[in-house]
Amino acid sequence: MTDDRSIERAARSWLEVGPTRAPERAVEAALVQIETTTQERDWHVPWRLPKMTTPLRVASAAVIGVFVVGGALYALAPASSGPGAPPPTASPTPSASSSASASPSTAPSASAMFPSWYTDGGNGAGILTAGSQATRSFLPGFTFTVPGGWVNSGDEVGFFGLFPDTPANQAEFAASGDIAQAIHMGPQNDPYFTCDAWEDNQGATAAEIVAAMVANDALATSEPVDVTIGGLTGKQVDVRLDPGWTESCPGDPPGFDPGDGRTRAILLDTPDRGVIVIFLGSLHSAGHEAFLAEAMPIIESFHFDIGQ
Amino acid sequence: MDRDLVELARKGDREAFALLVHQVSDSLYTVAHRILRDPGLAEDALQNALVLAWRRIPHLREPDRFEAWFHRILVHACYDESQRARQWTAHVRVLPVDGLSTPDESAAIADRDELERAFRRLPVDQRAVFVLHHYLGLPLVEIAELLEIPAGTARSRLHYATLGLRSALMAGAEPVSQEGRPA
Repeated sequence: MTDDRSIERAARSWLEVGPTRAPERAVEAALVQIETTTQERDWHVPWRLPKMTTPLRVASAAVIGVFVVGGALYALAPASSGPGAPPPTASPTPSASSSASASPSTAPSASAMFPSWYTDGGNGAGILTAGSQATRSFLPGFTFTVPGGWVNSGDEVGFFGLFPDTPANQAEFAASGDIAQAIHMGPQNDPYFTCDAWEDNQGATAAEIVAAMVANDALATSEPVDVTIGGLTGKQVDVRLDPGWTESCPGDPPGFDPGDGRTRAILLDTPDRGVIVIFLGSLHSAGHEAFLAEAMPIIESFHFDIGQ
Repeated sequence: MDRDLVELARKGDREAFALLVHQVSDSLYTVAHRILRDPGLAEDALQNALVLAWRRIPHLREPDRFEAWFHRILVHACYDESQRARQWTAHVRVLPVDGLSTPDESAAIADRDELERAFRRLPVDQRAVFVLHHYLGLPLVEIAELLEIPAGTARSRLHYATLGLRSALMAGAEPVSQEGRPA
């Protein structure tokens, strides 16, 4: 048995012999583990998702919030989503007197309120009052200061999101179901901005991940700078799709245009949570600088509880 | 594959994901066992792949490609298990056993043993392509797409796997490396 064909024949026959049923204990152990495992967030561009019909979007609002940061889609899957999950938060038209609790915590309540146009819900605190706020679930926890008009879309161990209640966001949401400008953050050792198949932005530290971004031919980046945010150190870099990049992401429809989204990525090294990535992003380049001017003071007000 | 279940799982529905798991776990374990040749390692690879798939399913943009996507995660979990197993190996010499089978049965067993030993010598990435091609019957182009590697890489891994099997079979019985798990 030395020629290739006879080897392949024998190997096929040999491969047929063996177990064909998965051990139940392995499957059950995995399902038990999944009960306490949060899903990763999808950071890719929003318009890569198929357009949902209105009824489907309304139906899915009960379990998912979807918004965009700088060309990166972020899908919220509340930790309690699924059968038996609490109903979606109400989103009545907000008023100054009925806005979120004046307490400094972002603790959600059954009456967490979101802008009336934002029908995707979420497990965040909703509309935030101006002033000092604190996370509820995100690790490491942190306090921060917001001006009026900002919304906490989600607050989980591995995700925290904020977006301004602006005409631009409302218009984008009405047109595409996405948010035009937002902040979101979470632990990531392989964030991608446009296409996971092109981007290998991996690393164990902020410096390594940013170096991978800079080296990636698909991305155009600014010169990374060192930053310290809330007691954590790391790197900051502005990222967009390289104008000369002509490849299409596998699976994209023909002629798909990834657009001109802009993202400021702040990557911070933590003692025990790996790298926390903060995205400040705009779906369109116009207005991005103004958005950064509004959003950066919020980021710079972060104080992380590093002892958590 | 129920597309609706995949969509629900992408949005965080654990029950939907559990249903999907029960649909695919047999297939996944079967492939893992063929690649790793060890039930314990295959079990670990399956379990890790299931958890990782749950974490990453929000990234799955084409629900119709759920099974291929899941197999890719499984193959990488097999790579990880193989890496861990290499931290501890024991060399075992297989001794011939006399008088327990007919000459024809002995020859068949000997062939399988030779194949087993030869296959275990292959790098795990070559084993994966070999199993996907000869056991699942996937064409090389599809394997390349599944594993997100160039078609040429898939082709060369299959070629070198076959070459490796032939060389090992021609070399005859030698000390066997038995992969085990770290203590």
